[in-house]
Order: sequence, then C-alpha cells, then structure tokens
Amino acid sequence: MSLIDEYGLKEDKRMKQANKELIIFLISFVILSAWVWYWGFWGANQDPLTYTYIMGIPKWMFMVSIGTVVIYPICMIVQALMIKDCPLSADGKKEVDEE
Amino acid sequence: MNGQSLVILIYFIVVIGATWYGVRKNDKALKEGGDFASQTFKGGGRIGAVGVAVLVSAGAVSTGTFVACVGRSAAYGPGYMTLFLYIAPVTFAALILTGKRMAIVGRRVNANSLVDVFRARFDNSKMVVALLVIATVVFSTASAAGEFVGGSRAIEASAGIPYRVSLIVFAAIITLYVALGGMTGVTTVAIIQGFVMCLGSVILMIGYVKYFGSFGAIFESLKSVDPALLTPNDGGTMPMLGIFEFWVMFAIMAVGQPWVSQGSLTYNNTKTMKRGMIIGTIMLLIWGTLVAIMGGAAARAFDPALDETMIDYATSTLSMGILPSGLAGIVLSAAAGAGQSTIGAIFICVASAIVNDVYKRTHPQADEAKLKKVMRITTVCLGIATILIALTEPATLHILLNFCQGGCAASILPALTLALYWPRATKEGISVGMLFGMVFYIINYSFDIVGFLHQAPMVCTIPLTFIIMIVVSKMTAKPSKEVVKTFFCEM
Repeated sequence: MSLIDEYGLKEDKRMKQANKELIIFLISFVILSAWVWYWGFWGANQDPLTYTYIMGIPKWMFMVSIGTVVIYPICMIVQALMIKDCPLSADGKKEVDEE
Repeated sequence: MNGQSLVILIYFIVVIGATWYGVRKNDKALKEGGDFASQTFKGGGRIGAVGVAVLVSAGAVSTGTFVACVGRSAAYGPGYMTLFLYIAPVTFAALILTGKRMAIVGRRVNANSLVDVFRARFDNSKMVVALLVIATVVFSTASAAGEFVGGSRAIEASAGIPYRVSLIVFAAIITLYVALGGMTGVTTVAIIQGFVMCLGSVILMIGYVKYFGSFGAIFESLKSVDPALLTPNDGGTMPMLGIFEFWVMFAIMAVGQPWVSQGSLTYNNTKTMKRGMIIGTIMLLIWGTLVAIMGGAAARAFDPALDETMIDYATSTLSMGILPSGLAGIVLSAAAGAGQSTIGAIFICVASAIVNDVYKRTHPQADEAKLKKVMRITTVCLGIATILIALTEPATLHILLNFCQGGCAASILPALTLALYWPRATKEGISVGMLFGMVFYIINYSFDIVGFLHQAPMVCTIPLTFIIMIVVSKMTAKPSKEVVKTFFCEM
C-alpha cells in the first residue's frame, strides 16, 4: 500500500473492508483445506477392506463431507452475511436507484 | 416419440418462452433510455441475485458436472470427486475477491466489460488489451464448442435425438437469446435453467435412494464391485499430485474465467451480491453432491460396467435405469441446461470483447442501432463458428479445451488479482506475466520436459506468473497517480 501513501492519497474505506473480507475467507479456506486433505491423504491410507463406516459411508469420506457439505457452506453463508453492505457507487455515496 | 424426448422438447419450449420474455424486458429497458452497451453486456447493472448466482456458477458448473463428473465418479470412485468438489463454494469466493472492487471501479471508469476495467487500470496498454481479448475470444469460443459437444452427446445418448440435430437446435436457441436479449436474456433463461438443474438433481437423488434403499447400500454395492472405488485415488493408481493439480486447475478455472469476473459488473448493490453468493453456494452443493458424487457412485453400483471407457454414458444409464422416462427427461434437461447457462455466459463475454472492446474502439462514431446490429451479427457468427468446431469434432478437442481454459485462467487470475489489489502493478509487468502464464502452461501441459512440471502444470504456473508480474512491475515505471486514485482511493 506504499504507493498510495507515496502519492499522498487516502485509501477508500470500502476497499479496506474488502481486503479484510478476503483475508477472512482465505484463512477459512486454508483451515478447510487442511481438514479435507488430512482425511483424504491419511484418513484413507489403508486397505479399503478394513475401512470403518459411519452411517454407511466410509469414515474418511464422511469426515471430508462433513467439512465440505455441512460446515463449509455454513461458514460461507456466515461470511456472506458478514460482508459489510456499502454503496457500490463511484464516490461512496448512496445511489438513487438503490433499494 | 418417447418420454425423454418429450420432456426435453418441453424444456426447450419453456426456454424459448423465457427468451421471448427476456427480450421484451431488454427492449423495454432500452426504450426507457438505457445505454445499449451497458444494458446488453451487464444487464444495466440490475441483475437479480439468482441471475448473478447462476451466471457466476456457470464457470464451475457445466455439462461436465452432469455428465463427465458423474462418469468419472463412477469410473474412479466417488472419493476422488468428493476430494476435489470441496472447492465448489470457492467459486463464490470469486465474488469476495472481485465483487466489491470490480463493482466500484467499474462504476468509476464506466466499464461494460472486464477489458474496460483493464484498459483503465493499465492506461490503454495495447498489449494487455490484446492478450485479454485473445484469451477471451479464442479460448472461450473453444470452451463453448466443448460444451456443445458434451450437451449434445448427453441428449443423443439418452433421448436418441441424433447428435447433429440436437447440436444445431441447442446452438440456435442459445444464439437467439444472447443476440436478442443480451445479458437480460441470458439471466432470465438462466433462472429457469438453475431451477431445472436443482429439480433434476433432487429427482435423481430420490430415484437412486429409492432404488438402493439408502446411501449406505450404494457403498455396500460399490465395495462388492471393487473395493478400490472406496479410496480417494482409485486404490492408489492415481498419484496424489495429479489429483492436487486437477483440484487447483478446477478452482482456478472456475474463478479465473473472464465471464465469471465479468459477473461482478452485473449488480448494483451489495445485497444482491450477498444473496447471489448464498443462493449460489447452496445450488452448487446440491448439484455437486447429489449428481456429481453420489450420482456417479449410484451409477457404478447400478451398472458395474461403467468404467473409464464409458464416462459419457453414466448419467444416461443411471437416469434411464432407475427413473420413469418422463423424469429421466428432466435429469437430461438439467444436463443440457448446465451447458446452456455456461455457453450463454461465454457468448455474452465474447460478444462484449468483440463489440465493446474492438468494434466500438475502432468505430467511435457508431450509433446504438449500428452497435445493436453488430452485436447480433457477432453472436450469430459465434454460434455458427462453435457449431462448425463442434461438428467437425477435432479428435483432440478435449486436450484443446483443457489447455485453452487452463491457459486462459493461468494468465487472467494473477493479472486480475494484482490489478485490483496491488497499486504498484504496471502494464509491462502484467503483460509479460500474462504472456508467460499462457505460454508456460501450454508448453508444460503439452510436452514432458520436466517431470513434475508436466504432471502439475497449473500448480507450478500460477506462483511463477505472480512472481514474474511482481518482479517486472517493480522494475518498470510506477502507475500514475490518477490510476492509483481511481482504483484504490476515495474519489
């Protein structure tokens, strides 16, 4: 962000907020990736005949799915709801045709 | 005429009805004084949440999800699909990445397309614009042809309508709603397609759960077919690096396509964006889990013969095997709809690149009526070009497709990220990086020069592209104060 200071400008608040939202997302995504790849690599690394099952689904796949189908979507929706509303106009003022 | 064909026919008629409605809506908005380019290429910035959701997810969901993914899941086991489908909601992260910034900057520079944004960011650099237009037009047209092949194959395999006939009908309908309705037409139809896709997924799920009794029974049968199907890598035959590459590529292709980022220009408030993200995440999960993963597992359990030589037939075999023919028709319409929504988004994006970024620049005096005409001619030509590619069916179409989309995404995603997030990015840095990304990816994808580069070209290309863009940008002159102000600061 040094170039902005160099030119003596002030960063748009909405842009700063967008950065925060992106960082939150990236962190949540890294955590999810660790979870999924842990179960995908190590949880499944045995003879398939010795797999244990949860609700009829192989354990590793069940654990991966818990992350991807249940927890992560909830996480995405919470993140979407947490995104701060802001006018998307050029100067940051409210627009006439906005709901 | 059998049940499936009848349902598919009804689906096509509904789509044509929606087209008519979309065209009227579009004409009305134009009459009320909407600017032609803005109305046609971004729906005047007034697209609703469902429209945004389907438009953005078009990058990740296509005929492939309903046909090829099901086939792969059947051939290599559902675990393999489970592993990489966890990035499905990430498509909507595209909206976190570009959503607010693109929308705000788009307003400031009055952009109608992604190229407009880049043009403003890199003070009219011919190189950047040329690379982007080439990536958009050439690569996207090839992708659209691939979609046509997939969609028509699905219809042929199941409903028995000959490949060529369904291809032409398919293409004619899409060309019609893109040419006449613009973005409004595309999103109006997309809402119906999204609905049919969800309906098809649920019907398919009810079908196989009823047939097998439970999810567990499907895995029981898979185990007796081949225990390796329960592992994530087909019993170790697929290298994990390969799966990782496939995964990165899928994620980047879903986010880095120009028509996905262009979706950020179609709404005018953050509420629509947020709703779009939520609706889209839920829809993607329904399609991905119920169809791509479990549909494939059920298909293999239903017919153990569906191995890697039968990838294109898994969906049709399963849906016709376990569902009454009318309901199977809905599932197949869903597959067709998935392809159509993607092609619609691609066509709009390519037309905007040609009309807005090439024609309008070279003919600045052209009035709206003229632009409208050019837009229609362009779309029709696009339709014809893609039909021709799809009809001649180059034997290497799949390879071509993969590296077209991959090459396109490998160069656009880093460029877009740096352009929007790093004030220091310069036009030289971005153009060298984009060129490098495309060439490096295509070379390593096609030739086996260095072992691991060939196995995972995307994984290696992306960081290298970022590094080159940053290094070259640092070495060249800073962007002007005006640009930094427009893109990052308060006005």
